[in-house]
Amino acid sequence: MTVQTSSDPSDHRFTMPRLSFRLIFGLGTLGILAILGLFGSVFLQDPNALAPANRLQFFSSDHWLGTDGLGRDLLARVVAGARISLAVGLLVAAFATVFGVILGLLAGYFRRLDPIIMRVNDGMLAIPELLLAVALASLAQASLTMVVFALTVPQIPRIVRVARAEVLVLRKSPFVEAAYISGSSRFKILTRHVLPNLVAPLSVQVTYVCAYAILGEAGLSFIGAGLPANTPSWGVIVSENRTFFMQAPWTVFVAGFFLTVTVLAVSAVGDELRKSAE
Amino acid sequence: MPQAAPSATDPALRVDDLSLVINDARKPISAVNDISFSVDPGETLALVGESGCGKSLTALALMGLLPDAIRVSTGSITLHGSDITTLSERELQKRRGDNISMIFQDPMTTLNPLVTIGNQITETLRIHRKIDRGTARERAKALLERVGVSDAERRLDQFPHELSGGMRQRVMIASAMICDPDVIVADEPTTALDVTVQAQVLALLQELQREAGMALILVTHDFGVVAQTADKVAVMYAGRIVEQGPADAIFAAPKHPYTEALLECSAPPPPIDGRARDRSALPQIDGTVMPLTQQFPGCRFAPRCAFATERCRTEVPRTRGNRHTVACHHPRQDLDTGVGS
Ligand SMILES: Nc1ncnc2c1ncn2[C@@H]1O[C@H](COP(=O)(O)OP(=O)(O)O)[C@@H](O)[C@H]1O
Ligand SMILES: [Mg+2]
Repeated sequence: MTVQTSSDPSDHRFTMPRLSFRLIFGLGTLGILAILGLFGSVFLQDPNALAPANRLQFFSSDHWLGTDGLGRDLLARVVAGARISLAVGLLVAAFATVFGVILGLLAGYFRRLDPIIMRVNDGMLAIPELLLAVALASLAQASLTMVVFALTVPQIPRIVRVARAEVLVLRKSPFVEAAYISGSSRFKILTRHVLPNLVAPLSVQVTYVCAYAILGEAGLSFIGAGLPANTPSWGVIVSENRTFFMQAPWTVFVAGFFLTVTVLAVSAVGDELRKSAE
Repeated sequence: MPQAAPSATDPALRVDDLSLVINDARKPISAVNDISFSVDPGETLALVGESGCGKSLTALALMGLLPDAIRVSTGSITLHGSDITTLSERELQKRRGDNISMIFQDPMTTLNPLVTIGNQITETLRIHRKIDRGTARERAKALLERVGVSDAERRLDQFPHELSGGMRQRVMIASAMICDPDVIVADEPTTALDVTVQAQVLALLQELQREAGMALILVTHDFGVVAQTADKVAVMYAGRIVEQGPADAIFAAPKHPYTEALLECSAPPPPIDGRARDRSALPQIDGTVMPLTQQFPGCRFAPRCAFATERCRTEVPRTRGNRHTVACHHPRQDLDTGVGS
């Protein structure tokens, strides 16, 4: 992960990323997944309909991506999983950003709060993120809320670090001082001059948080610390089918493939954003 | 050159015996010593001196914006009837932008890259006046036209990076002026600009200031700028005002050897045999400004001064004179009449 800290805040404009192959791949993949996730249930089969007679079938015209050990349609399950993965990715990115930016602003702008916030922050950064997520996830019963919470918390300090570094540069920047001496209140300076200029440098970090969260949800669900069994999450799908791996490897590979492509797509968008920020 | 018209009103800004001290870890270092000056409405005072002599600190003090490590140790700054050195940050914040505003050196970084030109200009107005968006926009547009920005309507919706340096400085001037402040402080407002636009921007600044009857404090190290704009001149050296007076008097008859040397340096060199002289042949003042941390009992210019005597090295010269004052034991011209030495 790269921390972007530009020393010249006047560079923080929105330069549109160039339309490269990676960007088209990233945005295209995510767009298709989002459409599938939102509207897939209209034309696909019920992802939870059991049909033990049809278990572990290979790809066919009835079941495009085959069936799992309980005869459920894998395409329907994987598409339902896309919905979960994207939701987790977006929610974690959103919550981590909101809390991270608030704390980063406080630490960077109100220097008295800085040592307190940054001490806690550094402490949290010292714990491996997945370990912290597993620990948090096991605090309560498995649920989507719990997973989002467990994945968000370890990401907050990462956002705080980037946001604070940017705020420290911005608060000393001539245009912020100019705004102050024309009589702007602190609130106005923070909301109008500092906050908008955080968007560009943070957007890269936020996409990485999103990719991490999608991977993290799958990981938590795979080891049973995430979403409840039978939920059509990619991690759960891989986990519940791993016993059939020798007989029907596609049951595992299908979900794994979707997971890989999605994470690659999100990182591709992040990389392109980073390039355009440079 | 126009002189300050004697008026019944008070000066727009008055500084009396102001001293600024840097709180160093060991002992306080004095950065600015006992400076006094005043500017009337519609008048331009140039604060001139080499870099590091305390001009910017003085300018910041006028705005009540001194860095944390620096404080006012003595003196007062009177603006709009109150001493701003005694005001709370809250009260200062009400005056900044309204009664006094500042134009900075680098227009490339003093505009928020994400805020449109129109919104940057109206921001100050909307903070200090109850005024609706539409009216504020009209004011901004009129002012943009006034500062010589073409196609003002379209510019209002543009972002800073779409404008050249000269245009941006015009925008900064417009936003500094929008509340009709009593005083504008401009710290090296043209240093970052192309030579070709410097003169235009200066002329504009002065024209607007005259028109609106604002007082202008122009901080500069360039006597060329002073000649073009100033009514009064205060020459600073190592934290002190060494000479002060009407611009024409200072140009015609500088009294302090430092002023004299500065003027010599800034005069365009006469060409030799029709060829321009190379830079190394330009006159310059030998030596450097004594560091602030160095203790020195006498005149801080003495080590660089061709006329220095033993007295200069042991005794700080008092400021003498009436309208045209000088702090020198051996002034180059006679003092004003009526003041003993
Ligand atoms: N924040 C600060 N802390 C300590 N010393 C400072 C600070 N700002 C300026 N100074 C010192 O004060 C002196 C005057 O600086 P300044 O007013 O910027 O000079 P000028 O504008 O005339 O070039 C310099 O010697 C500088 O090193
Ligand atoms: Mg300066």
